[in-house]
Amino acid sequence: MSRRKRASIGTSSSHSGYWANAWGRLKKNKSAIVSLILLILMILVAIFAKYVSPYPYDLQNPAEAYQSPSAQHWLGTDNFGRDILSRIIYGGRISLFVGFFSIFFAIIVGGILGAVAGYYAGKIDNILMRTMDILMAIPGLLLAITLAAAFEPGLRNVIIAIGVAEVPFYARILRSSVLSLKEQEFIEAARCIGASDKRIILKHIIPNCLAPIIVQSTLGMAGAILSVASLSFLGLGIQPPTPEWGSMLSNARQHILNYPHMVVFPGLAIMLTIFVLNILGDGLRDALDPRLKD
Amino acid sequence: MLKFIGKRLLMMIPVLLGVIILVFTIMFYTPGDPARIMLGAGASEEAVQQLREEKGLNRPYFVQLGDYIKNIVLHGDFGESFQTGEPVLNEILERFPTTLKLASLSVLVSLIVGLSMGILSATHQYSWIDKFATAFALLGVSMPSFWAGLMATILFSSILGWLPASGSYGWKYWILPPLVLGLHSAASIMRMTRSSLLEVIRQDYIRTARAKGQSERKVIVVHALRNALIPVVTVVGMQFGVLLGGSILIESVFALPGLGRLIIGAIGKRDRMVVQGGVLFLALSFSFVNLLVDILYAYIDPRIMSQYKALNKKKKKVSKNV
Repeated sequence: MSRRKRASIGTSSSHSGYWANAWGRLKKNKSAIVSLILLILMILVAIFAKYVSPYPYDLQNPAEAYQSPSAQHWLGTDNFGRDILSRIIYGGRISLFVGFFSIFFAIIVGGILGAVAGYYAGKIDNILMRTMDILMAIPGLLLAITLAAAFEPGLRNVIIAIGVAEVPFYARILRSSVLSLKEQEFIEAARCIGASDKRIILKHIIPNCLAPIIVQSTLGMAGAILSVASLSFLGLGIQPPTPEWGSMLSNARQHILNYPHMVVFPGLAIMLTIFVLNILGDGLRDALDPRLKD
Repeated sequence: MLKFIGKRLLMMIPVLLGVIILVFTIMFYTPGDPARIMLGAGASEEAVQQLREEKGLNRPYFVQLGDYIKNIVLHGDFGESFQTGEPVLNEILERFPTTLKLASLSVLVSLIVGLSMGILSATHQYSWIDKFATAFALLGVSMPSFWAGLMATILFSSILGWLPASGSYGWKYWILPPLVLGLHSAASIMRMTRSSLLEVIRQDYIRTARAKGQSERKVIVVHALRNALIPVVTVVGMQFGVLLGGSILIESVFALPGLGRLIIGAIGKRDRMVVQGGVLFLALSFSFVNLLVDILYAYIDPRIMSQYKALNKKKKKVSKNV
């Protein structure tokens, strides 16, 4: 089955109508389009957080601490009297940022390793893929926790910690795509007219493996957002007072018995974001690889 | 079959060595001097130096790594805690049963829920059951397990007062954690069961079974499920890794004294040896489960064994010709 899948990716994406067709199929998928719109909205809200959020995220007001949702504070306030809605809006910035860049990191590193392994094969392939096996032998979240514990806490290190755990997936995708592509005639033709290895990989092979990468990265972003929330919840990710959904939950947990509203909303924000990314990812998979749809 | 298991075991060795090297290296370059941590901030430079000497902490990286691997492989010795001086293995073995219990009960929950919902939604495709199960799966995959745990505590402990919120003192404490952790994996298992069963149901031999007048129940249970469950086994194996990672969060939410909490506590205390040992132990158990899954896979799917045998025969022929 996997061989057929690879072949279909290789051939169908080589003519230019492929992306237009895929977009046409995606447009028919209502839930995927709704998710796409929601995701774009979330990104816009995160970018323009300053103008959208009703209060500054760090404005403390002890007189208004622990308030339940009301007209002034739509989602209530926390133990310092900070507006929860504003903190969730700013927290979205961190989650989306970390989610995007950790996957970006994983695609770049994993992509290069996978492409090199698949293209040159032999010894390099063996060494690289065995290294990936080692990374995959450690459960993803556990690896991220270990790395996060080893680094100083901070945004950049969280991105790397989560990204490293994702690297093997992209290395595997790129490698298998490259392995099947490099035997095809258009690659041979390019080589015959004297194209360099670099040119063949960048201009001919990478554009042809984009479809599975796009699907995996959408679903991967959902996983990365879950990971950053988990790390922060455990106190290993983004440190307070920076608003982050996981660390908001970790703080809210101490007041769970008396003020459950503090726990409800940050979790809903995480869930909605992951939900949207998952549906979009599923939709993209159906649109980019129509054969897989049942 | 034995040969297959033997070969699979041999293949595991370099990966496990790699895991030990990787984890050791990450922790080796962690900022913070272990000797200084052991003695506290007030200790004199000389005392710290002496302790470093004593514990062999000033030896080169490769020597310490070699020692660490040798001790694990030959004696099962994961070193000593920097904080308590106790052998790390003792602490791990004290905590591991809790984590194992949590992970096993969660797998059980996810299998019961995931399989039954997957089968129901595949046999009733596009019905309300199917729609409900699909929505459940999407929500289950999207819900962070630790948040689900917190919400369950609010509902069942603080509002309804049926179950205790945290700790481990009896069977009542062991209802919410596996349910919360298992439901997340149940969603993945349900999706895989559904799509795999849908694929199998359309095959000719199922039509034949129906044509010869077999009851629908028998067609599904005896004919279709046997083949449909093969890919599900892989998902269960992969989910076990997710469960081990997730157990760290759930142990923290419900204050269960498991390996995950040991690791998190040790990170806070900068106790490198305990973190290292705990992470390694979890990674090793994950590899072990994957090994079991692979063997099980070969056992339930005769095609894998025959492929393996065919490959061996080919290799032998080639080597004879050379």
